[in-house]
Amino acid sequence: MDLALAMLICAVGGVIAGLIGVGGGIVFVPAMTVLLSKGQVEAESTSLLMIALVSVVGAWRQKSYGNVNLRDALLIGALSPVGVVAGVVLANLLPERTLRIAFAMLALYMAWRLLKRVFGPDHPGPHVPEVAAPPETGSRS
Amino acid sequence: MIGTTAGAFSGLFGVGGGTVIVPMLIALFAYGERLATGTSLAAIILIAVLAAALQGGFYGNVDIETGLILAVPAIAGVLAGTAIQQRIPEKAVSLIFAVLLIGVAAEMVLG
Repeated sequence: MDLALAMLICAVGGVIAGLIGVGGGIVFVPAMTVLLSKGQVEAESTSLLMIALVSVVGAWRQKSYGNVNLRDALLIGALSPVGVVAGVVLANLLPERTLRIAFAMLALYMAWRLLKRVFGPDHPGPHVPEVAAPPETGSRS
Repeated sequence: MIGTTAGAFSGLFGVGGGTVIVPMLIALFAYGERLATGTSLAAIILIAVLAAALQGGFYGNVDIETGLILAVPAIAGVLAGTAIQQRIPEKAVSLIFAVLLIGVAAEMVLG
């Protein structure tokens, strides 16, 4: 019963992953710790396997919709481990409170930019001149 | 910059990469919402495969059987999620992330 519920919750996690482009770990991990009595480390590690599979399928579908910039994705993915190291170094250099406030400010700045996009005027995008319909040239031969 | 910031977020606070990658691509790099989410998922493949291989291969922390069982409905979910996303306004994704980021910011300051 618990496994069935965990599977249902993971299905919802998958929908969220596809909808907003995240891995879904935020849903998978508690499903395993709460319902399947997994330890935190085991649940997080197992969710990584799930995220890998989910992201492969999700990215494949989005690619078929024309929604993947592969070059940027490779760059972001390749540089993330550098960020993890940088994060660890930063965490040892600065007080955690300072880091938390700095990242909170960055998150709020991005939220503000997104809200401006949602509620602001539509972006005109690159100007594409309308193509006028060709004039009628008489009867076809 | 996005990659390193996303990694730093993950490393420091356990916030998943996508939570950072998608809004940065949209807000700072003028990506459309669908392109940002698709690119994020592709980037996450690399991050998750590497991390899962380390956790499983080196430390033996991955429960492969449970992971595979739970991955089946999760994959069905991601197929549904990507299909739904093509049918809703793109700005809905930005709105969801704006709310999510405000929550993350509040958690970081108050948590």
